[in-house]
Amino acid sequence: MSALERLAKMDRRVMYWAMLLLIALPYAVPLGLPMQISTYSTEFKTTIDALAPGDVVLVSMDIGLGSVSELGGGIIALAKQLSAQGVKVVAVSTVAEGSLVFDQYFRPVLTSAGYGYGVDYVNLGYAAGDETMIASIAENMREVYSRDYAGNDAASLPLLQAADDYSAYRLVVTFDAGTATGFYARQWQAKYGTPVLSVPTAVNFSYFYPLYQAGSVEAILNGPRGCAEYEQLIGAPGLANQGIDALSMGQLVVIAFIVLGNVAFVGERLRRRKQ
Amino acid sequence: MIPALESWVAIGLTVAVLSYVLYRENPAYRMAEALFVGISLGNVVVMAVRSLQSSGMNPLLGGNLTLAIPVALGLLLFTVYSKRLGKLSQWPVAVMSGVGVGLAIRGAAHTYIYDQIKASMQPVIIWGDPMATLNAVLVLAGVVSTLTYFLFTVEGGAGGARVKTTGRYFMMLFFGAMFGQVAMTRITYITGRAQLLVQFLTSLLT
Repeated sequence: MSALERLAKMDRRVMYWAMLLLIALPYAVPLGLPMQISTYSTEFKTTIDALAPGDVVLVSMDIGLGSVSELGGGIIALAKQLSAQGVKVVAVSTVAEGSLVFDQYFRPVLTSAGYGYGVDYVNLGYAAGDETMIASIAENMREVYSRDYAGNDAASLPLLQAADDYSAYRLVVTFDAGTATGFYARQWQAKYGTPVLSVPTAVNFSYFYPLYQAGSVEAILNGPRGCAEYEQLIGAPGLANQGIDALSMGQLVVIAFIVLGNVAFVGERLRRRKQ
Repeated sequence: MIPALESWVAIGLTVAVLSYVLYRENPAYRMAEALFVGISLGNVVVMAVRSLQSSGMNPLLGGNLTLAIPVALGLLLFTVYSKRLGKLSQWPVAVMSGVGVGLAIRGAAHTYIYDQIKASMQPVIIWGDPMATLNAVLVLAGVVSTLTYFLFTVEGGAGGARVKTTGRYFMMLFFGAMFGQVAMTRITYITGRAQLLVQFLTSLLT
């Protein structure tokens, strides 16, 4: 069997092992690969910069725990920037696990900054309905959420009494593994002019980028890469920056196997043609 | 330092799941898979019931009787399992479709048509900035050729075919970029687990 044939028939587990080991390497030995900050990540940060203490922001956790390895760094970084500026937060979710993500990653930053529940931040949890739910909370939040995630009466929460519809919110930030960015752009930005900021998973970035270019989305982060840039911009490198070297190694492995696969394929065809 | 119990559980389940791709299917993988499906499903059911309570049942029991209509329509969905009453399930589906389409169309016309056309109608020549001019020309060529690709009613001759081919190339570029982003998303699933494994091993050694 020729080398090309062996390459073409290589056990796929070899690729998986190579991928895992090379991805794990930067966590053991940080590589510190250079990273250029994109203009849209800078715009994301400056949009948040413009918020004043006491402003209210709607944070929509439209991701499950599976997407935390991708956007977790961005979640923590946003919580740090908002709490440093004294901005109040109301959290909702169109995904059943979204409220868990908020409680595990966003809430600890707010509580350590001295935020009080019900006054400075609220986690309303999941509500069914997707776009219908997003349109409804813009008009009357307490009609959709009679109780928050912890089971408290929503009417008893001072923050929700003051921020019951779109008019109280300076902007919306959605952490999005699906289509929520489009829903908020249609139901909050197009209808009421509320700026929408999106932190989509990398796979959705290309899909939402035209909305950003057209102004329907005010600012956007490009998945884990964008989260790492955002962490650097606020001066708090964390979860996303730790993973960005591993991500680069993973991409290199994919590129290497695409090249190897094509070399094997073309080489095999040339050999057969000669025969 | 001895890691906490939850770290052992996380590592055990991570290794069990990875064993499927790094080794082969085995009982540990199947157990981890069953646990994941069960816990995820349990969480979804609890969240869905709480959502129904929060936005439907609590206000209804509190005196908001108008909610009886959507609740009744929702219950009609279950008639799909009855041969005799099955047709009644078409009513809530019709209402959901109507409301969904009505809501989406209003915003979609603004966001996906008006805003997109407005953003595309930019000057092609930007004096003193050749890169911006090149970018604008590429955007114009991409928009026109891609839209032409979807004109099925007009042949357009050899020139039209060339424009359509150009449109296809622009779309292939987009699909390539999408594939790169998909690869990035999939890799992050492993990066999170790899980080956990390295942290765990480091904590055992220190």
